[in-house]
Amino acid sequence: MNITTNEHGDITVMAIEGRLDGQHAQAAEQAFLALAAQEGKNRFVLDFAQMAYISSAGLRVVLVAAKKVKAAQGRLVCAGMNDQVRDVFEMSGFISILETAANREEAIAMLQG
Amino acid sequence: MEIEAIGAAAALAGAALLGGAAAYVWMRRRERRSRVLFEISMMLHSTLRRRDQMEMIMDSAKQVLPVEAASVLLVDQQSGELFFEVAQGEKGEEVREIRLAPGEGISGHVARTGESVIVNNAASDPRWSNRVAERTGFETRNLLTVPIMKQGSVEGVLQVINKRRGRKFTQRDRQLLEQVAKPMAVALENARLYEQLEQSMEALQKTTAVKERLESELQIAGNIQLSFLPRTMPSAHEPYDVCALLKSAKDVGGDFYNFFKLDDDRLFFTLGDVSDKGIPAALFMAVTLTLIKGKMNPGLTPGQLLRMVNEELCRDNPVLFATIVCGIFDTKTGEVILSEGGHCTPYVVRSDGSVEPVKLRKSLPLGAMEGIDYYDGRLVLSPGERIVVYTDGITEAENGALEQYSGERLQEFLKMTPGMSSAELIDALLMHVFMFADGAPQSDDIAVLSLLRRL
Repeated sequence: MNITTNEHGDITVMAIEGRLDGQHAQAAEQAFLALAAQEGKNRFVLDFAQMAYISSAGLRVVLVAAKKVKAAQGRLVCAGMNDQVRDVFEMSGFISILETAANREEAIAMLQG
Repeated sequence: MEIEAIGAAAALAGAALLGGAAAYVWMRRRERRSRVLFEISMMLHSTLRRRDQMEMIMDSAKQVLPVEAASVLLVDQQSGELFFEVAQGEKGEEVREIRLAPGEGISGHVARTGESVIVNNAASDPRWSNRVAERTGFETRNLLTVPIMKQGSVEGVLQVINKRRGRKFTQRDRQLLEQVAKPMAVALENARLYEQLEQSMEALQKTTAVKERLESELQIAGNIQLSFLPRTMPSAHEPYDVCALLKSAKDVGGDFYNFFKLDDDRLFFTLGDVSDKGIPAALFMAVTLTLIKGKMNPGLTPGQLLRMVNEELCRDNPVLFATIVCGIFDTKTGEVILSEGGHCTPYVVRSDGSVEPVKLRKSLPLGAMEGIDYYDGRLVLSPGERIVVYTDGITEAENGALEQYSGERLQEFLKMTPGMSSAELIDALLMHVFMFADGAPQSDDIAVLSLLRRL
């Protein structure tokens, strides 16, 4: 797993690449919470375009992120899910509580709009 | 022994110079000193604790060199300060807390130069530091300080204070104390090695203890998990054939299942997967299954039950969640009411071998979010038909090439199962999955439940 973050104005994009499984879930969660703890940050894109696999432990990270952003009255968009990753979000029901976008650009546009 | 040989040679030389009774007394004294030095060198083997060794060495030294107090100061290799390793005498306790700066006082001087120093009038010596004296109120009249050397470097100093009966320290006293200090360096080295050994033993013990604790935790978790599963399968006389199996991966996981009769005509069944492994997962599973069993009553639909259980679980703001499917099977009509939370798709196997995914309105896993609804779906099993529920340990089982067993393979397999008992189906399915994995290790728990409406 590899995490990269960058800023588009006041929107923070966090890209998670590779496998988001039990082995990496904690690192990913801490990375997100560190971002969310920064002053004034409450609009986020999670970019899954390069995500190979997500396990239930990985789903929990997304759930934690979604709850955190909701509590901060912000918005979170999950972008670029491949079919396999989307299947996991659909199967687990999480898709129903998430905003999604086809790719990062679309997600940023949604948050700017 | 070298020390004894030197002593004996010196005694002979001394005896040649003197004569008669005086020579006898002198020789006796030399002999006593030699014997003490020999005893000291032998003591090094009797204990390996540094402080014990030092105390013993000084006790012996005091037999031949009567003094009021004795102490060993060691050089702190990091700061260069001297600290009291051993301080004998009536003010020993107070002295032990004092540290001397590098070069401070006579001890500091000896540590710096490596040369022994005799001071027979402490108060008038410019090197004398009265810090210790002030702190303790111990009056120092005279003192003898020798270095403890190891391979040319000073490890510390040995110091004796106030020779008894008002006497002065002599060059012979110095020689004696230098002889005593020699084995101390060896003792220090031995003790250091011993301490290192003790530390590594301790580290090893701790590691072993942690490992054992982890192993026993896993065992406890495994026992919790198993204790919540039904132990007996229903009798062959029931109008249905239900069988379930849980096969944990190496770690204890949180897969679970249960089934029990609600009344004469209705069977409740459930199967799920907690989003973690180990003790937390086992406990979350235990709580979930307990809530399900406790809250379920014949008036509830599965969806209503899941909503209640979810509210209860979310109250504690859990860090885990559990995907779940549960249902009520009416043994008379064959009707099954099902509800689910984030779980993988159940399948119905018709008697002609066709396999149908059960389309249920999806909801979130239990414990994921409060206030959400769970929905009921309905299907009917004809005699000879079955429903199969499972966890993703089946469909996500991987082979060496990291391909997954997948829902498609599961459906293909299920087409071959009409006519099998539930136990036969589960055996065959596990075999099918393991053949597919082809030796790749099982990475996740597997749970599967088959409910067949008998012909």
